[in-house]
Amino acid sequence: MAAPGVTGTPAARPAMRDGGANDAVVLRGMSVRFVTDRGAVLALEDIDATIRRGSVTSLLGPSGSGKSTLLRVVADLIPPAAGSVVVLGQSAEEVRRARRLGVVFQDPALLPWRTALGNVKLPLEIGWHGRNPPENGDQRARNALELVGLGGRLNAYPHELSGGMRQRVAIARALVCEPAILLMDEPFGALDEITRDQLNVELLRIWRATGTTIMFVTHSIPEAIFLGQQVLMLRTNPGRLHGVFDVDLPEPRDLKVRETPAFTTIAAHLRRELEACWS
Amino acid sequence: MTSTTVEGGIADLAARPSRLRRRATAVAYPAAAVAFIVLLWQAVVVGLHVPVFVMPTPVSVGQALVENWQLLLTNLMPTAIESLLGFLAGNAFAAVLAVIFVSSRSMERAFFPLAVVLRTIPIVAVAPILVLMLGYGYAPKVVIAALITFFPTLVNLVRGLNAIEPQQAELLRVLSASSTEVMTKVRVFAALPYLFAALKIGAPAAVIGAIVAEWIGARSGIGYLIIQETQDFLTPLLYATMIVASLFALLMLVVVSLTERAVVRWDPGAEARKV
Repeated sequence: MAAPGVTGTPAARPAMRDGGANDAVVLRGMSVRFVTDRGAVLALEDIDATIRRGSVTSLLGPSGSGKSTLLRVVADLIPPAAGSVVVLGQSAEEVRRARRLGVVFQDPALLPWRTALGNVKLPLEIGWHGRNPPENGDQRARNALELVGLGGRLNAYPHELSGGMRQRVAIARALVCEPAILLMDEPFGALDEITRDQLNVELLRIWRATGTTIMFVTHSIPEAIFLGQQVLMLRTNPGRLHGVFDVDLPEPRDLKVRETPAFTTIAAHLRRELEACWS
Repeated sequence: MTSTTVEGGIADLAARPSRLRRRATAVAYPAAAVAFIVLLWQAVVVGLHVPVFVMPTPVSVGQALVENWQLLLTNLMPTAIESLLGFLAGNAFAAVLAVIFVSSRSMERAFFPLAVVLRTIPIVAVAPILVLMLGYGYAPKVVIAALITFFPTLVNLVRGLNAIEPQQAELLRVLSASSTEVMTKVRVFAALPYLFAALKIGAPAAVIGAIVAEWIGARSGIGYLIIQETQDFLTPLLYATMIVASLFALLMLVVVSLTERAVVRWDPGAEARKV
């Protein structure tokens, strides 16, 4: 049953343990409830998951399986209804306030009146509440844009940049405070396939350069496998953890890895598992 | 290398005259239309022997304009001051109120309906009340001009200050931004295109407000002049007065548009068009 290059079984529960020093995110019995006009809806139920520090974890699942919701709980944008959420040994709120996490959404959400540099500087200007923001803000912002390959477009306005470049600016903005965790919610979902491939490669390069932990929500099986060392698969109605799959591919990965038999086997395996998540 | 240069050169050559031509046609077409209408007007009035007090010829209007420029300018001054002061006061008041409304939902719930009701009262009906209350000086005219400017700016600013996209709002929360920071770093800028849209409505409207207020009671000003000229059948001068008033309103509009171009340097529609 076990396919080569992929370990883990459906509904496999990770060993129950409290967050150790090597765990970036530990979720235990975590549930999320949304209150709508027609009453409460359970968006996520009883999620147990552990994200290793310095790893890339893909969150894969059909629409409505609560992938984005899970990410938003870690980002302290949505409170869990039950269970515990430990991020870097602290609460999600403490981590957010300490500016130890960066977020990239599907929409780059850039401020159109600010240049690329101005947008990347935004996190250095707001939310410090009396604390001193990091020094050399200008240099940090320049370095972050350099890292995402936009060192030459510092003074461009968002409307002068392509969709892919705008998303690079959003990544630089998320990285400018050197976060320990980078949360990405379908960041390349609105981009064309070529740009998407390019940014996937770039993201792995950035990950190797910064060593940050990445949680990456996607609809795409190849993207989930290419980026993640671990794939968390969620199922719908209510959103539950379907399984955790380790992706064992040689590092560092490049686009050619997608043509290898190991990659294809994992993709086929995940596709079959995903079909079980629809019901 | 060579081919790039050639292509660039051709593109340049092709682009330059077309841009010039576009500029030229943008001016030439309306100018030709105006010239045609003026000629037609002259021909109709002369051809049908229309009495001058019913409709003057463009030539007689031009004469009145040249002969009475001093009278027109001295009467434009009070109207200009009233509409400018009213425009500034109305917008300032609207801006303060909009910031309060956006900061406090309960204030918005309490006072926004009142502002809407204020809007429904016809200016012509308020003007006499204000003249009785504030006398024949500048005050009632400034208030009317302010009232007429106030509403579009209030509505647009409330909309503009709230024009934060959902993911921008989430980003600001992730960044632990305070409400003051959200206001000064995001809301104010997001509202600028909305503000200028309102100012372009308000600028000519303020001039109308001042003139209407002058009809009710004034000893000088464009509105005062219009009443006098109508009573005395000075039709060419009446037309000349109308031209002066509309030129002044146009000037205010141009100043607002140029300010907008200098301030809103980004493409406000780009956010909506992206993806």
